[in-house]
This record gives sequence, structure tokens and C-alpha cells, in this order.
Amino acid sequence: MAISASYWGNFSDKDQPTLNSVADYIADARTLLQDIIPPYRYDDASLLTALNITMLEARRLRADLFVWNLTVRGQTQSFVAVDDTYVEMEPQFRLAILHGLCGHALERDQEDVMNQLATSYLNLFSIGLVGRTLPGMAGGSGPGRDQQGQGQ
Amino acid sequence: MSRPHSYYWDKLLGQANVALSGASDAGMRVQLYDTLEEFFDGSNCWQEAIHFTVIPDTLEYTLIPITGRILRLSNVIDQNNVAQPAVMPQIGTVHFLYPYTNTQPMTAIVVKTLTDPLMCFPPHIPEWVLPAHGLGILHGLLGGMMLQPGQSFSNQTLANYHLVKFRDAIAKARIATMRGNTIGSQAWAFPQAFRVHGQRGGVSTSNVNPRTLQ
Repeated sequence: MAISASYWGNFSDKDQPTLNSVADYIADARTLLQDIIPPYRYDDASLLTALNITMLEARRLRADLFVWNLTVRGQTQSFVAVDDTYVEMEPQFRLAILHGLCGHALERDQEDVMNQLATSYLNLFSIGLVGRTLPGMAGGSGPGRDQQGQGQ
Repeated sequence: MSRPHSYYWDKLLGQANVALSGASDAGMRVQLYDTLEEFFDGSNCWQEAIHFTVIPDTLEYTLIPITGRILRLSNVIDQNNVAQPAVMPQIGTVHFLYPYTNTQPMTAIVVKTLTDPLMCFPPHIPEWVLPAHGLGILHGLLGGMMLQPGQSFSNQTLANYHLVKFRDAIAKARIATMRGNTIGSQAWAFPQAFRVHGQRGGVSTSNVNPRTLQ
């Protein structure tokens, strides 16, 4: 029988260690984005921006996660460093925030496959928060591609 | 709070969580507060007997409940269990219609509801409420949550079903309170000819001896 410590029981959200801090989100986002070996494709600043914007979008979609939190009192947290700062989010919605973070990070890429991936992550984000998907992103028109992203 | 009482909370919130996939804990707590407030307001089932002393030539007395917040005055009785004409124009202050000439103890029976939204969870309510009315309160919680638009747990049809059941639970609790949790008894005590005061001129709707209230 395993005897290692684990989270269980009627503890506060802050005691739930999974996706607890900013560093947890950034680390797991790097895993999902396959960007775990320096030099990073997505630097810390861009992933922090993605996390901050995802929190803003979560505030828009699910105000109840923020307005009744007596710590943040309706405000949206904004982070400036990848550290152990606690991200005020109920555990059941942390995966959605992570997906939103990845989706926003991928949005800056121009490759069509990344657009589709970004759309997938953003859909997971919105499904996790409100149970339905957002409209997909249009394909890019990079060199040698038409508006639909098809090769010529 | 004793552990057995927390099981009732666990059961209620667990059932709500299962039915409300995608609901936030914060949202459910706020909806639970509103549900309980509506339940106590509609049923008058949470009452407290507050003892105070009447002094000559003073009409108004401030009542302070042990827990909860006063909603309205149910009754005022003197030391002989005789109902006295009194009103509560300002919540928390009992106002007699006529001054008394001698000092005497009185008992005001007030209807209460819960306090401290967001600050206290589980809410401070009497321990008998959930065992007696937990299912009805669950219906109210589910109905209120499902009525919210644009959520993954929104369901207009089920919301109507649950809210009808909730209204039914409120009505049952109100009747049970009115009849002193007895079967088949009337809301008033027989014979009515012995009533000392009517409702005219103040609340004195009960001439039943006061029971132990929480």
C-alpha cells in the first residue's frame, strides 16, 4: 500500500497542490506545448501574458469564480513573475485555465496546424468554463498558401 | 458544529455537485444562501423566544437574537402566556400599542433568517433544519442554479420542476410551523372564544403556550 502523502478531504482550495501556483501553470503549459528545453520557444513573459489574458477571459465568462471570492473580490489577478504565487481558482476549473493559457500562446503562431491546435485548446478552455465551444480561428495565409491555408 | 450535522451538509452539497456539472463552489454557496433565506422567509420555521422586561411608560424594546437575523415578529406574550398587542415597525424593535404600568417580564417570539453571506460556510442555521427540510432546500438550490442562463448546468425544464418542489417544501414547513409540528391539529387553540386578543391592533395570532424555540 502506498504511504506517500496525498491531498484529500475538506481542505481549502489553496491546499489543493495540483496547478496551485503560477509556476505550476507555466510548467505544465510548457509540457503541453512541448517546450521544456531551453532556450524556450515561448519565454516566461509571453506565457505570463497568456495566463493573465486567460484569467481576464475567465472573468468575463465565469464572473462567479471571481466576484464571490473574498480574496480577490471581483478583481482579476495579474501575475508578473513565474513563482509560487497562488492562482485564485477553484480546483475544478484549473485545467480550463491551463488550456486557455496554451491556446493563447499558440495563437501567435502562423502555421495552420498551430491555429487548429490553438482553436482546440481555446475550445477546451471554453468547454471547461461554460460547457460550449467558441468559433474556430480562420486558417492563416502564409507564403505559398491561399486564404484557406492550402498549398498552391 | 457536530460531525453528524456536517454529514447533512455533505449530502446536500454532494447531491448538488453531482447534478450541477460545471458549477463553481462560490456560485453554489451564494445560491444556497439565497435558497435558505427564501425558505426561512416563506416558512417562518426558524423562530426564537426572546425574553425581556417591560418597564412602565416605555413602548419600544430592542430585541437581540442569539443567532440569525430577525425577519418579523410572531407574537408577544406576558408571564401568564397571554398574547399582548405589539408590532415591529422597525425590524428588531418591538413596539407595544399601549404602555404598561408595572414592570413585568415578556417574551417575544420572532421569526429569523440566516446572516453573513459569503463569510460563513456552512451557514449558521439550526441543526434540525437540514434533517427536516434538507430535500426541499436541495430542490431550491438546484432550481436556482439551473435557472441561470448560459451555463453548462442551465436547464429551464428541470429548474421549473425543482422550484415547484421547493415551493411545496416551503408551504409544508410553514404549515408544520403553524401547527406546532403536530398532526391534524389546528393552527389555533380551541376554544377560540377564550382568545384574549384578535389580530386587530397588533400581532397576537397565537394563544398556544410558547414552546421551546431555537
